[in-house]
Amino acid sequence: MTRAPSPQQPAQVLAPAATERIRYDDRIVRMFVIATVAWGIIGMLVGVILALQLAYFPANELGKYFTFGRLRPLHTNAVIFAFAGNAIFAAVYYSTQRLVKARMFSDLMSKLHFWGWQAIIVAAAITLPMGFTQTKEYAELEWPIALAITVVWVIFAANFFMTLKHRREKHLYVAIWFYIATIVTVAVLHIVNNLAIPVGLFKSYSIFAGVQDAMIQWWYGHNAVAFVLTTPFLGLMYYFLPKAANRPIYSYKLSILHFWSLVFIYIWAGPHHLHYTSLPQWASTLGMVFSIMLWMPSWGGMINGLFTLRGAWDKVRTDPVLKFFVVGITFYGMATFEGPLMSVKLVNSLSHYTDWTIAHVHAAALGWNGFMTFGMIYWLAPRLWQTKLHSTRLANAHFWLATVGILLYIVAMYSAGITQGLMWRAFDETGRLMYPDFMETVVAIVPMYWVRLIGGSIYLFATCLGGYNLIMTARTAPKTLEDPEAIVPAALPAPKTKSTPVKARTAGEQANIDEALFSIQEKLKGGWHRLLEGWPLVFTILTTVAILVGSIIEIVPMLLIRSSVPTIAAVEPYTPLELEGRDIYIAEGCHTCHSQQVRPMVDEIERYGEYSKPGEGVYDHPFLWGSKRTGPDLARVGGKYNHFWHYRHMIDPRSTNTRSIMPAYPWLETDELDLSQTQKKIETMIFLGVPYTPEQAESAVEDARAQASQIAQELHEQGGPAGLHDRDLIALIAYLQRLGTDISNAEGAN
Amino acid sequence: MRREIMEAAGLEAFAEVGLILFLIAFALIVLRALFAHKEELHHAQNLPLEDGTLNGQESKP
Repeated sequence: MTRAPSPQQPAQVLAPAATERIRYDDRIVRMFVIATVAWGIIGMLVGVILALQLAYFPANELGKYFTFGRLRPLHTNAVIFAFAGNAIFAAVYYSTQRLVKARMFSDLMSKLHFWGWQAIIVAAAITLPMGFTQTKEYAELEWPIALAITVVWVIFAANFFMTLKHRREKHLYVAIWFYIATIVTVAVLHIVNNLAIPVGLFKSYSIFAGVQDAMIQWWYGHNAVAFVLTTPFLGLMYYFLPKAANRPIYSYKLSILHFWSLVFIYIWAGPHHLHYTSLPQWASTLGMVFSIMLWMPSWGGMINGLFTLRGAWDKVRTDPVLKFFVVGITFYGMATFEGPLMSVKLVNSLSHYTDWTIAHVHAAALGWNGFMTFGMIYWLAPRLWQTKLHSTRLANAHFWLATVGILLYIVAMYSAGITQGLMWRAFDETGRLMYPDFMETVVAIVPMYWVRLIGGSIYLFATCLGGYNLIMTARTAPKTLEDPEAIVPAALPAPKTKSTPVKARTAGEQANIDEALFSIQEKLKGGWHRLLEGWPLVFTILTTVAILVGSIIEIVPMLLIRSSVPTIAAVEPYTPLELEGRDIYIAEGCHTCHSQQVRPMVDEIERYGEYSKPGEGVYDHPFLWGSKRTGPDLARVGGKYNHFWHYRHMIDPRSTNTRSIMPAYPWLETDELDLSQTQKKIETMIFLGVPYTPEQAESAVEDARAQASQIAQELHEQGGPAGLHDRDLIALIAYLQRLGTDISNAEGAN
Repeated sequence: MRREIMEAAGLEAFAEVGLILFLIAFALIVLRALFAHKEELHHAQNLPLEDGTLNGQESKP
């Protein structure tokens, strides 16, 4: 750690008596900026590959580890945690030091944070294509990596809060509030959503099941958007926009309202991801109401950002930094208008499971997060490398190309989403589904997938231009880059300890008490919030309370009503073979394209069957409801087709539907079924409350083999090849044939 | 069926309590913002522009 010169050192001679000289750590910021751009290009490249796979299914034939289902979580994790994550850290490390006028507490902790985070990203890039996943969106990484994230996050938090403790500026600027909210909320979300029982090194089961697991996941998922992709970027906006415009933020009052209302309201909105599912209606409605309330703070923030440029709009024409910021903030306004709109149940009934959601997500990620990041980097690059930006023209080209790319992408996806949503619910004059074959609704939107591919490719190309510009800028940097020096107020005096023994009060001590009281009175003159901002610990606790209120009120009842979720007598735990098949379904990422949740709507019941009930998922660790239907829902697929149909569908989807865009899975026929962990999996399920007996755990492997032999025999009798009893495909067929049959069996019995 | 069970569980109060908590918190925040001192706001607003960095250390683009 670099220590600032003491007041007695020569540097102090030039500075006023109550100041000292320090050096900010910009090396760590440079490292995070480089990582941001590098991972951004990789994450977006994977996104372009995925877009190609959807438009042109043969692109899935890159091999077992590179199908859409396995690459999709890699793309989301890379973009959210590698690209946006590193950008957030760059912003936090640069702005925090300057706002609190102190070097980061520990250079070592900063480096541990940086390299630990990059190691986690590499681990994700290896394990996700290998099929090691918890399936929960944006929380797919298995438990050892989830633990590593916790450790690295604690290092980051400790370094950040210790820096605040050693600050030289009493007031905590609003950007710091947003960083505090991010750090504490992400910690809470990450820990709760990753509560799982390990089965092996790369396999675990969520401690929650079915509807409860869904509620926890989307409480996490929505707030990952809120506290990873929104609050830290708002902190970034509140710091870098005034810097770039060279004028203070438009209204500090508005920023106070923006912060507290956003932090308090956002946490409640998660259940809007689960409208019309088995989630209790009260939770769903609560999520919708609070989502609509989010309009207020979100637009307050947007207005605050855009009005900061009052009198400086002429600069937007020439300065690429301001161009990126203005369009980024505009996308923030658009996305935060659209999000609440999509949370309205009626709108959601059309938009959910379609590409409308994909359009919404990318308007926010590419427009808001991407443009705020690039704006920050173009502002930072000349300062961090202490040279001129290589090319302003190239930066402008980056801006315009990226803007065109986003527009092509989102227009195509809005069009695809609304088209498909309307086709799903269309009935003809005789009262039958107008498009009963799901593939009809897919074929109709494939042209839009090509447009999306073009838009995404342009955005990626523009990002590469930005990367080139950054490299060229860095190459002209001085050979020795010294950390910038600053004159800052002398360190705040250390807080008084309470070690002074209590004595009888004397006249002198009475004077001390009076002095202390006057001191408090003086502090309170600035207002109670001002006093609060001087106490980072108390501020952090209150922020945590704000986010916990909504979480507890929504989640605790969900956990308490476990006994009152209507249990369905016919619903039984999966057989050992079905459980293995379910894990193969998870590893292949089938849930990324197929939902398992029939909504209580006429068209869905007509297309798929009886709507899904909360009691159906009581043994589902984790839940597999999905969030997007690139293929049809599978909640009622059990018994719909014979084994041979499933065999043909997996080996060559075009053999069962010539227009299918699903990848082929030929390795399922050749890969040997691994039953080495089956008994342990059943024992883990017993631990989680699934009513298997210890005897069933002991005989799990034997039972699995017996069922596999039976299915393999039936498959052969139906025209399939012989001898597949020990292959992955048989376990997957066993699972698929089970889906929804508990309900149909119960109805048959009734 | 689901509605009957949820009604029997008596969970309505949770939503109402949550809404009241929010309204109280928000009212306090509005009051705080309205009665904030001008000097305080001015100082806070200008923090990003006054980071103490010496000229020449942060080169301009």
